[in-house]
Amino acid sequence: MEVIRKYKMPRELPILLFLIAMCAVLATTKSTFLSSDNLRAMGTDAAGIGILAVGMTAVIITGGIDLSVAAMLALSALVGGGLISGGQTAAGCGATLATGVACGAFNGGLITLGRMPPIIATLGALYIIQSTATLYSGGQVVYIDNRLSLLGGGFVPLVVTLMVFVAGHVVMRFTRLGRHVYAIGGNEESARLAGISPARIKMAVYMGAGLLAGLAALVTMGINNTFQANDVSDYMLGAIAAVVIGGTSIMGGEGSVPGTMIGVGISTVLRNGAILVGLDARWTQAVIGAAIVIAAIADRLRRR
Amino acid sequence: MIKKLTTMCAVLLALIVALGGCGKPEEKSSKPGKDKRTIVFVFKLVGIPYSNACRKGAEQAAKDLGVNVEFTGPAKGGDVSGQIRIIENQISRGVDAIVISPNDPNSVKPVIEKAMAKGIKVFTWDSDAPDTQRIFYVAAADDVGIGSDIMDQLAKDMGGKGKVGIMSGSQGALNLNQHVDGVLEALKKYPDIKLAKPLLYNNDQPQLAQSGMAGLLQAHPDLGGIACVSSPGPPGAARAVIAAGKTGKVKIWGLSLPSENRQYLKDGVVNGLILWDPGKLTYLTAKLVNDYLDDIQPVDGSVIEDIGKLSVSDDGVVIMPGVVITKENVDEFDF
Repeated sequence: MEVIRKYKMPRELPILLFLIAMCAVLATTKSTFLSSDNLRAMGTDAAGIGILAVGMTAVIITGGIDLSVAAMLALSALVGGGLISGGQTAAGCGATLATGVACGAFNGGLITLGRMPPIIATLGALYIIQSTATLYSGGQVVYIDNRLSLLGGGFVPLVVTLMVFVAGHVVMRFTRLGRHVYAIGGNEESARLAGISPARIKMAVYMGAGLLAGLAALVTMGINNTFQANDVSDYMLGAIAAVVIGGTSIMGGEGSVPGTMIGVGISTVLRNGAILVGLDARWTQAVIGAAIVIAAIADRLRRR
Repeated sequence: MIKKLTTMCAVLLALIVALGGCGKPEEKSSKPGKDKRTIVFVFKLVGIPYSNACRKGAEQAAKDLGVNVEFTGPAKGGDVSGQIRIIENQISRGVDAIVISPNDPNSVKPVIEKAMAKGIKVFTWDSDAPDTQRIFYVAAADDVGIGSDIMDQLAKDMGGKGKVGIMSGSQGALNLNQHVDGVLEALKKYPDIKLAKPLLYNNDQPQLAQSGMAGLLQAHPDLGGIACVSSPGPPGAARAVIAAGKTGKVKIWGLSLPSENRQYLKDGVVNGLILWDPGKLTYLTAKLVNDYLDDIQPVDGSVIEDIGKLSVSDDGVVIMPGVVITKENVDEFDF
């Protein structure tokens, strides 16, 4: 008994098994599931939300949340996309990333200097940034004339997303910044007493989330070749859902980037699988909701 | 203590000034002048090209008719409660008429009743709320007819045989569901065309339009065409078809804007679009509503300059004729 209690099941294991089971069922019943066309389509589908979800994972591990990620993506895409459509591709890419970082710094500033709860700060930021995006673009579509097709074609979106996951995992698991993120999420007061500056860490994490929103904007523009302000309004909830399904605790201090990757995998495979088996699309969201609830229950059982 | 009180007073004062400041431009418009009539359009969402085109029509109507015509709506797609809040605000402002394109036909029923009870005339355009007290509905072609037109064109390009998919936008929008009904209705005329399941919903997100279509191409490798009934559909389906290297093998017809499909039409990925000019639709609606407030009812068969012949049915549905857009005429349209 003592031995069993000592063994701590990795938090990602149940959802990983769930994902594998889903893939196994689909692969055996639908021959096209593992075709390269389908894998490429799923990779493209997962890219935007996947990249956002890496930043969201770090944010949630600090005990915070970022409701503005999709809005940051939209504003970055419209600011940078304007330049790219005018032929200044390099400057436009830089502006896209810079806008993301600036938005992230705005969030970080509200939370650290303004001492606002993250949910309130980023809720405000969501509305401010989204409406800036709508006003900035005048509601018009930005056309980028295939100038980012390198980022959006073939397996590139999937590869970029996987690279972001690897980088995110390395930062969170093997760097001092990563350890400090876990520390302040676990117990901010004792982290402070241990000499960590929560404000600096949080600032870095929210700016990182902004940077990734900028990167997601580039990939999304590469895929769609056009962008308009409302294109990604589903992405914020999609990213949070992936992080939560991936076993990251919404209370902070616990969670992992690989878990989030599995979470993104589950929602992507679900969407794709539903179409392959001919399931009415209206069920897909209910199944994703059920996955969130099951993940929460599994987390609870594990903690006992 | 006194210091604290002073600070609190100062903060309060600042807040009042700030709130007052914010409120001011609202207040100006919140009491519409007695002599100038105010008509407010409440769309499903603002910030997309379609709603911008509607807004332009409303602005033009304001100039031509000499009345206040405003255009508003929630900032987020499918925001049912946000749209109701906006309508509530317009009711308390006491405008003369509210014209709604509802995100959900049933949930606007109480708020329409409330407005009518206060003497505010309520109409719908673009999307209807038929079981409510709305006075009339101005539709761009009829909603079922658009769907069957799309299917008829598609069937022609498919040579009357093969497998066809359907892509809609959000699941709760009445006009989209009626477009889908129209597609299904027309499909019965073509015994050799089979429906490829499931029905796709893109939730007005281009990414979902593309990935949904990619999935459908996997589920049905022999897919011959897709009927898209909302605007992100055709360009999203086109991207998936290009990625799968099936340009020309899968025909795409749908309801979408020329500006979003220009290149796809020219490249032969999208075969054609059926639509109307949303600016003209909104302009026409403003004109008909303004006439109604002057006690002039819309008349069946009347011809409106630049728009064409209206059809008006007994249940208060006014229909504006639609247009077919292919690569031949796409450059005539700048929206």
